[in-house]
Amino acid sequence: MEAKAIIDAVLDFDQEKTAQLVRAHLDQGEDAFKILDHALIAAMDEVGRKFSAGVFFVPEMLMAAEAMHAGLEVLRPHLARSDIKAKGTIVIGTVKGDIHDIGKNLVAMMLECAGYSVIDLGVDVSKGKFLAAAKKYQAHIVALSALLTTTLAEMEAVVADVRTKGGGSLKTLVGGAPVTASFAAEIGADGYSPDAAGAVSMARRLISA
Amino acid sequence: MHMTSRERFLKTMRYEKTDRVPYFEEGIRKDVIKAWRKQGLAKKRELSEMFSTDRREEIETDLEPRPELKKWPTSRNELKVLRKSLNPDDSRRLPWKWSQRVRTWRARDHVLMLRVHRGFFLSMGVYGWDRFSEVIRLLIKDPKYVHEAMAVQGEFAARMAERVLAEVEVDAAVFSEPIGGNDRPLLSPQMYEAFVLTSYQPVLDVLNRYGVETVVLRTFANARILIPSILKWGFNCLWACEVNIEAMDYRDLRREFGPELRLIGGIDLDALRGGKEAIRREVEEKVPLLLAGGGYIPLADGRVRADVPFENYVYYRKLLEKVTRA
Repeated sequence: MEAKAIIDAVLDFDQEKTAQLVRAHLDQGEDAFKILDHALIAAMDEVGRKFSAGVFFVPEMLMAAEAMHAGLEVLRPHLARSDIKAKGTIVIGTVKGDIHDIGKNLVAMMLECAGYSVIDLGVDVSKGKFLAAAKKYQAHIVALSALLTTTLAEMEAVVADVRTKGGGSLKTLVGGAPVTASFAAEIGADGYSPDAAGAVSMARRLISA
Repeated sequence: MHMTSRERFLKTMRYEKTDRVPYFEEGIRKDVIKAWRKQGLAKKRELSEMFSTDRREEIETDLEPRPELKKWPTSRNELKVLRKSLNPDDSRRLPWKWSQRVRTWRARDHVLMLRVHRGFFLSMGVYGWDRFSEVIRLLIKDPKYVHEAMAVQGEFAARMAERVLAEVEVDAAVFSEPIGGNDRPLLSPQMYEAFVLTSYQPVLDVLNRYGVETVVLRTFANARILIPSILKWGFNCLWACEVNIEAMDYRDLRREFGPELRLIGGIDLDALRGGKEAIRREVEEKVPLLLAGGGYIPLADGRVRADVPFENYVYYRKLLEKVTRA
């Protein structure tokens, strides 16, 4: 399939054109999964690369994600029929005591765009809720966000909870303004990312490990 | 040579000789004091009695739309609502007991700063995800709207600053800019200059007209790549709060930007949580070097909260005094 036009439409933040091109590919009998993987997710990979390279910032990333979503909405009914599984399930939330959601939502959005099933528990989420949701949805990763330094202890408690009660395969991914790589290592988190694009790469690494 | 706190601050910012470096308090709240009382801080004993402290005050005018907006505008047609709700002549926007406080300030010895702007996101009404994503969309899809909304805020902030400066001489002006993400600002430097710094120009003009020498950008998290832009626009002091200290190491900033950029802060709050060795390393390795260059006020890079043990805080303050007086 010719994916470049769809990728370009996403990178131009053009929702209408992305949806229109996806529809055209479906009409030509293209496989929905191929369109998702080779065009829409590939476009978001390029967005991630541009973000990491400092070419894109949050506005560009968010607009590209919305264009990708416009294409995804066209694909969705076809994806359901073809019984395709998500690349993995990730439970995400801002830890208890913290009501900041912007960073967490950006990460959730990028993970969704990368083909993961994301269960967003919202903000001010207690330790028990993370684990319960992870078990309920058979999640691969529990992703935790915090903006306040005062809630870092809560992040540590959730990570410990997942390690002791989550079974060996459930991984933790942490991030947020006061969170550093060394803090993540110190509390025993399996992964850390300083930004939303990096969270996608880290999720891939954790799930394939 | 003994100086008042105000003289000390002004001379530090002018790279002139002082009797000692200014010591600001780190915004310690009552709950922290309460916790520290159980950890050895004697009843009725004030921190200012234990450590040399330079009093610093910030004039905070009300820069919110009044009455509060039920819905923030999303198009240029709707901006008249914002304009109407930002009336600089409303006397309720000035701090309580204004005339009395002006008289006191005129005879002061302490450092007085004026908070002039709340930064891009708060000025655009961003308090949560919905408005955040709306503003981000508008930046790309309707840039003229964002320019105009920020221009309305800039003009209003300039008139408010003028109202204050006509009556009180301040020692510094502070723009608050919570725009940093963990590893970079949310907006690119190009976007920041085009949409934000341009809108600050009327405020900067007022500050210039009233001779405010120190213009501070108080940022949060990692805003490093914006520094060349702010310098270009006439800011001359950075106060970076709650930063990833490795990315915003003041020693690197000093090397890169030289004396043009005065610095407040720079001491990693994590070290205060960590323990004596971490504090010693942080203070001894950073502070003397920065002090030698001048134009620097050592301070923890954020509000000291209850997770800093009292013992650590005492050690930090004593060490800071020892190192800075050496």
